Amino acid sequence: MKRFSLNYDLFLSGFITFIGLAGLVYLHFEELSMGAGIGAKLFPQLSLLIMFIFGVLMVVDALDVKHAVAYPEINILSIALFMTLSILYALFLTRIGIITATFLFLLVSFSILAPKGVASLKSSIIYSAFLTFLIWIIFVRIVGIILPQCLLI
Amino acid sequence: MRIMRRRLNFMMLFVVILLLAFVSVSSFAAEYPKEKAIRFFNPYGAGGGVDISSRILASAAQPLVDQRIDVICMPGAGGQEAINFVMNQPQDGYTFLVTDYGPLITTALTEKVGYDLSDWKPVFQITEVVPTFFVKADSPIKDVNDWIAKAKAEPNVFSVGHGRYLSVPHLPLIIFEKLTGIKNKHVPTTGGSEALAFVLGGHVDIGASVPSTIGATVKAGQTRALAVCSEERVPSLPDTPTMKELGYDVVLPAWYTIFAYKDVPEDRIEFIQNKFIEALNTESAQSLAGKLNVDLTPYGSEKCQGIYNATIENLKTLLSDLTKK
Amino acid sequence: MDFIFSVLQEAFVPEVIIFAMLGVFLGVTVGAIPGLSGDMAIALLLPFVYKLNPVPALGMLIGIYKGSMFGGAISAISFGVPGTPAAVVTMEDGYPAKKNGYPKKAMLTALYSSVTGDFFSTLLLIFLALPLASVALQFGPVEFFALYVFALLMIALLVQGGIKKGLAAAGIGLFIGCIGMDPVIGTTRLIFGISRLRGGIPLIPLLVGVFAVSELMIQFLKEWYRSRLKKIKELSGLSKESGYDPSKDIMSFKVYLSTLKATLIGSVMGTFVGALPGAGSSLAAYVSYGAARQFSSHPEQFGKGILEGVAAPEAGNSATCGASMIPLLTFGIPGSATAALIGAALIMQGINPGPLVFQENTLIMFSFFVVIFYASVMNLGFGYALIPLYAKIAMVKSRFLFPSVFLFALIGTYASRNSVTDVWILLVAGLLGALLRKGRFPLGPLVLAFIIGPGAEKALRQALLIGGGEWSVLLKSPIAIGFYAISVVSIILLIRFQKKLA
Repeated sequence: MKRFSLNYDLFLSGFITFIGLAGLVYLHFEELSMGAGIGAKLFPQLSLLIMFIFGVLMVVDALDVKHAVAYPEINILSIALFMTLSILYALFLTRIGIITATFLFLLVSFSILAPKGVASLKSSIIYSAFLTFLIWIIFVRIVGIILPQCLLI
Repeated sequence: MRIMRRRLNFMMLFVVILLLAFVSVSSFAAEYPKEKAIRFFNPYGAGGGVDISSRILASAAQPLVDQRIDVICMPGAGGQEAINFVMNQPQDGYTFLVTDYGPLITTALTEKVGYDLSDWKPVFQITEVVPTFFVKADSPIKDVNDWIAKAKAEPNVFSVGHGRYLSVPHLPLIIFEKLTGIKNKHVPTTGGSEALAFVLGGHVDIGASVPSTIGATVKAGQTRALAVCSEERVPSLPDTPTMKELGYDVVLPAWYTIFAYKDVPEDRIEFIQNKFIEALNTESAQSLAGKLNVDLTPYGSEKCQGIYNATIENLKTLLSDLTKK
Repeated sequence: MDFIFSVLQEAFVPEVIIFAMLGVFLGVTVGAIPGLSGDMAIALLLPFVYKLNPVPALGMLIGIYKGSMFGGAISAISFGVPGTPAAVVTMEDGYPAKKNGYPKKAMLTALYSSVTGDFFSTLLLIFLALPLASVALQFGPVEFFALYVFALLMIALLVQGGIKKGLAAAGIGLFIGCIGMDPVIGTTRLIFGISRLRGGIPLIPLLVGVFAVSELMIQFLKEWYRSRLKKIKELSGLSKESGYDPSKDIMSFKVYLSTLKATLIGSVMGTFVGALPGAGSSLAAYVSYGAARQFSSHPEQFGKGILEGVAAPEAGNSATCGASMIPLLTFGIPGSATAALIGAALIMQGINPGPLVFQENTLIMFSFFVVIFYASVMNLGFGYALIPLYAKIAMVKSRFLFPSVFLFALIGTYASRNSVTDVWILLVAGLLGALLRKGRFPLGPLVLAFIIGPGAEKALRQALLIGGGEWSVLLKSPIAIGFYAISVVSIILLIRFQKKLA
């Protein structure tokens, strides 16, 4: 894991450079209207060019100097896990129901972050219920958001 | 302390159960339209022409229908989110789409969408929105014929600010140019307001917008409306000739219309459109609209259907001509 | 004299006072919750506007506007999560200020500057609306483009430690801004077949995602790491234990005076930008920040928690409250999205904003002006009262705080446009933000480029269309030349300044 962190700069700048280049190539072959003056391609091309140029400069930097990465304790795996949790929430929210989704998400989050013990599980449940209620009151009752058709509540 | 804590826990649990029960209680069986709130979905953002007009209708109709009518804006995906949402709702006469022809027809004719134009049934038309050409008060262009003469003498000199590309004020401009053979510089803007700002600031020579946006400045003498593109003169701009009067067949009004998706029962459509017609004929609705330069056109379902079909045909011809270029 | 009495009578009716207070309270609260913004609250309350009389209705809406401009700063400073788009810039120095141990000073600075900026632009609205509006109308595509170029150059000023990263981030932001319908013709580009993206990437999900979600994700994961290791290591956390010394965090009039220059710069820039149709409060905040930094005696401290860096953008974004009403009330052209909503509310009350609005509705409009004034005072009062309350909330245990704020941000984002697509964009933006943060990329330039890019492109292409394809049209305006000149001077100063550091 440590080696990955040291090369993170390289990875990120390389990725940006790649996107810049790939985008430019893609746009070259893409049919975009040239009407109305300078056409729709200019700005996208400009942005990708900037990404590419500075990506390259950053790659050179990354190879040269060893920079410290911010948040070394947070690795790609944990980010992936958090994203999975969030994506599940979004799916539940739109397919299953806002109350179920919110309650489960909060419960899982509070439990993950909790010190061990039954007492903390109880407080997780209570606060999850309370916050779910609060969110429901504010967003569904007061604000009146429109939710897609769901299975449960 | 422990006992207090336990009591608190139980209370919270009780509250949770209560709220779950509360949530799952739906309204008991009732007659249309009393089962739930009626909703208008608007593919444009809050504060725009469609939004305001539909709110005028909603507030006028609410007491007559004796049910809440909500206007909900869903501008995502260029308006397609609202359209898709209404399509996916149960077709029970409580969910309607309110829009002008842009997101519904123009998009369907220029891109792939998930519906057929015939799937949508116009229920009620709130107002007609008439594209209007205008200039700054001190502009050297005196009227439409003057514009044509000057443009013919020197083509591509005048710039016209016209809202979004292929939008309600833009298409009549295209038709007009085809009819007269003149060429102008088209300057797309984000909408009527920007076109007005550019005309007032002298950045473009002519603007194309709608009466509700420019009405106030015309009344104050800061702008002059050259012509309107409808069959008859517009009540809020009584001194402005129609293109037709001047001899140019440029008639392409837009409308703000309530649509139902295909399987909504006929009798419900009939019921609700009658209520709407009644609502807009009330004194308060009329006076409010008058103040705002909104010309109410309470057309029921049949008349709308005719207008709808005519608009589709017009747009088809126009757009296919454009793409041929 | 009679007239003045009737105006005061209208304006000080209890109904109006109550609704104005309600508006300010709602505004500050909504502004403080990431994902919810003042615009949303106003849009949601539009139906209620019907049922009220004109003056209380408008009082409430304008109260929300003012409150939300300040409210965004509260969470920006407390959690590093901007509550509204306009607060993004406040966060640049506000959050470091909190981390350095003086959150209260920062928040009170934000409050006082907000109110100052607000007052300033309200005064200008009332006394100089017409001349200011005429100046605003001088801005056509050519002038707007010059302004945007100038603003984009502010990016360079915002970047500390690594111009390359800053500009790359700007490039990414520009790219994201190009996704969707192009601003001139409306052809869809770069959507890679995903029709949900037709309308482009909306601001709120991107902003909340890139800043808030990424920050929350990082704090969440830190908490997790900490609880797993059971170590009480001081990982630059937000909790009470991190050596907060209240005696070092006292706001005083002297402190206010020390930031006054920045506040005034912000007020002027904010009023100016706010009066331009279509410019908006985020742009006002950025430009104020950049200008304040230019004229500051300690430019190197910007980004590290200097109070000037909080005062300027807050004054700037609050100044748009009064300023954006200038073109609305003189020509019917709203100066910002929020002004457009207030315009809609006026219309629903049967008042047509435009050149005749004062002649047709004299009593109401003048009462409205009085209400605008005292709403600022209420803003000051409520802000002062609510800061300790929200500060207490910020002190809630991290374990409960982060997931909850995350959900509020997510559902709030959904609520603003009722769009499921927005939620997905939020999550992707959050991932992007987190990955970039890990690489120590500054996020400010990304968002600024995203906001300004489409506007700049539109202005450029409109200018070229008007000029018939000649690039020289860009130099045909004295205002434009002025902006380019200032930009060139700024770049020169920047290069010399960089050399000084090296």
